[in-house]
Amino acid sequence: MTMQPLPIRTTNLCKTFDDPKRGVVHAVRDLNLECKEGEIFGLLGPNGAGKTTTLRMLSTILAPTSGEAEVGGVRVSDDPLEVRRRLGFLSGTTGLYPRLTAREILEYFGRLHGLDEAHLQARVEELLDTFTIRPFADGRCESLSTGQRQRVSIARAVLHDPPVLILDEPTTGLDILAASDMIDFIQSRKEAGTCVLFSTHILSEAERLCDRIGVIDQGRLLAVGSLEELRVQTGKEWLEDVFRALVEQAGSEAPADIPPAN
Amino acid sequence: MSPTSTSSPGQQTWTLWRCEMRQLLRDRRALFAGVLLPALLYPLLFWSQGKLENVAEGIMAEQELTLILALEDVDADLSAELRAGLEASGNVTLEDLAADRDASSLWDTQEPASTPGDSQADPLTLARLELLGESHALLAGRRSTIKEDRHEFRVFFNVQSDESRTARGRSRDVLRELAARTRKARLDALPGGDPGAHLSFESVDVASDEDKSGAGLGRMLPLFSLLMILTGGAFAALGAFAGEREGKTLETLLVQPVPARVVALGKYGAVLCAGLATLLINLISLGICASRGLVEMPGLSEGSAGLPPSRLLAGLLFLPACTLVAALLSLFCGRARTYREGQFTLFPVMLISIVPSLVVLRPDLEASLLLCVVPFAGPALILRDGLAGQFAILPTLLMFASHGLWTWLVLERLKNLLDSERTLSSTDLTAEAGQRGLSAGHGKTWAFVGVLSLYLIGSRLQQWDLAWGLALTLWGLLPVLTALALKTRPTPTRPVAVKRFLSLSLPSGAHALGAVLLIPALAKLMVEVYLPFQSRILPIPQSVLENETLGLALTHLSTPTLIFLMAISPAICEELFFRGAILGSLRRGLTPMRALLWQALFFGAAHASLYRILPTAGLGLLLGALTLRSASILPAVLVHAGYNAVVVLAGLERLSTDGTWLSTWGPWLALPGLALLALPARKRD
Repeated sequence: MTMQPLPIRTTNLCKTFDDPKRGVVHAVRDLNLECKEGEIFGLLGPNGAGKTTTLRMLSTILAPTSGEAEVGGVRVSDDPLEVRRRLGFLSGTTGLYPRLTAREILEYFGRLHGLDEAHLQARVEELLDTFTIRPFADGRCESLSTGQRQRVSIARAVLHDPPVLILDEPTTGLDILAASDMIDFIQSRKEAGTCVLFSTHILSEAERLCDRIGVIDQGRLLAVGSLEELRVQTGKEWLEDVFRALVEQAGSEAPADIPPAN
Repeated sequence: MSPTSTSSPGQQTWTLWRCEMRQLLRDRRALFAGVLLPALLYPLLFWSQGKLENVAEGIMAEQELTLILALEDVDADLSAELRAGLEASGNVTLEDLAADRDASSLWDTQEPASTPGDSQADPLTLARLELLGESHALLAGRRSTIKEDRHEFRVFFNVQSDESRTARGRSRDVLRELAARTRKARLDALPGGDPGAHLSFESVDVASDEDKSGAGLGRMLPLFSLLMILTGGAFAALGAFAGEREGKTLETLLVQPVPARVVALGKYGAVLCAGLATLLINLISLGICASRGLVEMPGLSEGSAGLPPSRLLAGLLFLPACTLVAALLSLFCGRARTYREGQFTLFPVMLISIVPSLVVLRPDLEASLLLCVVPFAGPALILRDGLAGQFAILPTLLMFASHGLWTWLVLERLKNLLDSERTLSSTDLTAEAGQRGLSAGHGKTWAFVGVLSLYLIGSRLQQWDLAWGLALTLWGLLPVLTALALKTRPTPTRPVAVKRFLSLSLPSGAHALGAVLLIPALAKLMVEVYLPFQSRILPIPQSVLENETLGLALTHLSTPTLIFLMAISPAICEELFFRGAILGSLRRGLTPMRALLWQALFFGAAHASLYRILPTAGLGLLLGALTLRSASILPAVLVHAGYNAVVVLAGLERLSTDGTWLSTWGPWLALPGLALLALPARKRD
């Protein structure tokens, strides 16, 4: 078997926002990240650390200021449409069209992905069963509960069977049951060989799911490794302590965040 | 990976369009506004109007009226004709005046010399009221006292009673008709016929009925069509763009393998379709109403005014305007981040599209090659002329081409807007938005306080003593206000130093010099262009002028004192407050243009004169722009001082503005001045 390109790879990825009122904001700085096939990678960091910006760059919603992001060996800047074909994207705040039914939504996105009609129908039926959507598949989405909506959203994200899944704080805003459904789903992807990159600020989620964790703060990737490796690196037992130690360590090494040159 | 066949952009556009249309058709509000309302509006309107008219007429005809006739002196034939006419006019009971009543008061011409208060006591009125009795009107007639074969009539009625007024109206109509008939009969009986008939006049329109009604329709159809497209398209556009963003589905859509162009095009197609559907439904409804005779419409009514279908095809000439207005609607709603924000954009779109189309009301304007490329004006004119039967191929082709181009440009803009970072990253910046709101609010509040204190305190001080009051206002009040505004400014996440907040740093030499070079042109502009203009539009009353000429009260001051008081002090103190504190707050909360406009408005208002608000606000705009450009208030201070000095000294005739080198050639200095200002700013601190 030949060397497969990595599902996700970023090299010196940077994103700066030029806000006329705040000046230049460095949301992501020199981020180097590699995720392997069948791996669940958690991007862990506080709010405003740059997680969402990173995931948005990978899913081609935002253009990187400098550096490169690749999905399955395709650079996001070269062929964003090809990258989008290869990934499924889902965030905790993703909405559904209120006046369409679950089935219609799945068919709509399937057609946008260019699935041929026969394959599309088979795939939709399969997903209706996989995520137990069938009982409410033909009711308008405005009448669904949060958990039901979440299941439709997940089905939508994996409709085209993407080799890479990018989930931006997927459990945010979900109740306990829906959140645990989501966690089950992420775990099930691992068995399917999908590469899952997800961001969270909930430590227990990361602890439970991730093969490897990347700790990110103020746009910098502070450390990458399995939970065990991070424990060894910091000498702490609990992920909370590991996280704090890493942030403090970074704070003492690098000078405090310099106000942007203006 | 699943076997995906890459779908073509055409298929994707079709998928998107279908999805949008499906959602729209399930939206009850959209259906109501886009289908039901236009279809039912006219029939309902005209039906109810017709009903009301019928009811009113019925009530009028059915009213039982009693009329008393006092006609004993009248020619028998005439009397009989009059009675017949009155009886034919409706439900009328005719009674003769009882023989025992005294009818002499009816012909009494003496007007009661009464004041309004005691009209009841007037014996003549009382006698007439008595004669009228329970009846609704009294019709009296007699042979003329001047000529035997003439008659005169009088109708007595009471304006307070509805029936009485109706009785008056009916009697009048019958009498008029009778008079006309008699007159014609008598004229015809004259030897040689009607002596008044030696000259007759009639105007004959040689345009065909089609052309006439087409022209009538052409004056109204452009406005009407645009309104209908906007009505129907608004819901589609709000749902497809603003609603999609608010419902957080746009992000999902943008990670699908669909080019932004396709997304924009599919959604735009839905907006256009919805708008056109509404227009079509409305036109059909209107046409049906017109053909049923429910409404008089030029060009749509049955019969003489009907337009042949071929002529109605001219309506297609307006399609380019429809596509453009739908695109604009999409663009404006595409900017909006929420449904609510989108609703506010509808009014500007309405103005942008409808105002130019009103050119059709000017019959002297023709669809020239130049006019036909003007958005909305061109199609409107070509539609008007087309409906009236005139068709020029070249302007029409140019109009189609230019409007195609406009639409394409708008859609390109829309495409770029959909995934613009401004709108997508906004969710990350909620705290920033709050901070900006605080800052803008702070700026406006303090500007308001400043203007109010200048009114209340400053004007009192200046009434007490003009020179000292002015000095106190400028050096006492304004610095205090500046300090207070500075003290209370909201602390942002990244604090801004006082020096930077008030723009106190030194500007680059080029900018300072450039600003100074603007002064002569500015003064000339004020004296020679603006003042004559204002004297035509809004002349300053003499009383206000005398009151405002500060100079008159200050003529005793020496020139240096005057310059210090009227030029240097306002320049420093007003700039510190308006361009320093107020603009400092506003520009951290608003876009630069809005911040400029607000501070200029307050600066104009602070001068407490309706007649000077325009020039002072204009000056404020320029000074604000200079401050933002050079990141320093110094250029503004220089320009303000120089301008004030020139205007005050010229006003007191201590400086001649005629024929000197400065007044002739000075304004040209503005050119190098602007060039210097265009140089890049010095790097900010």
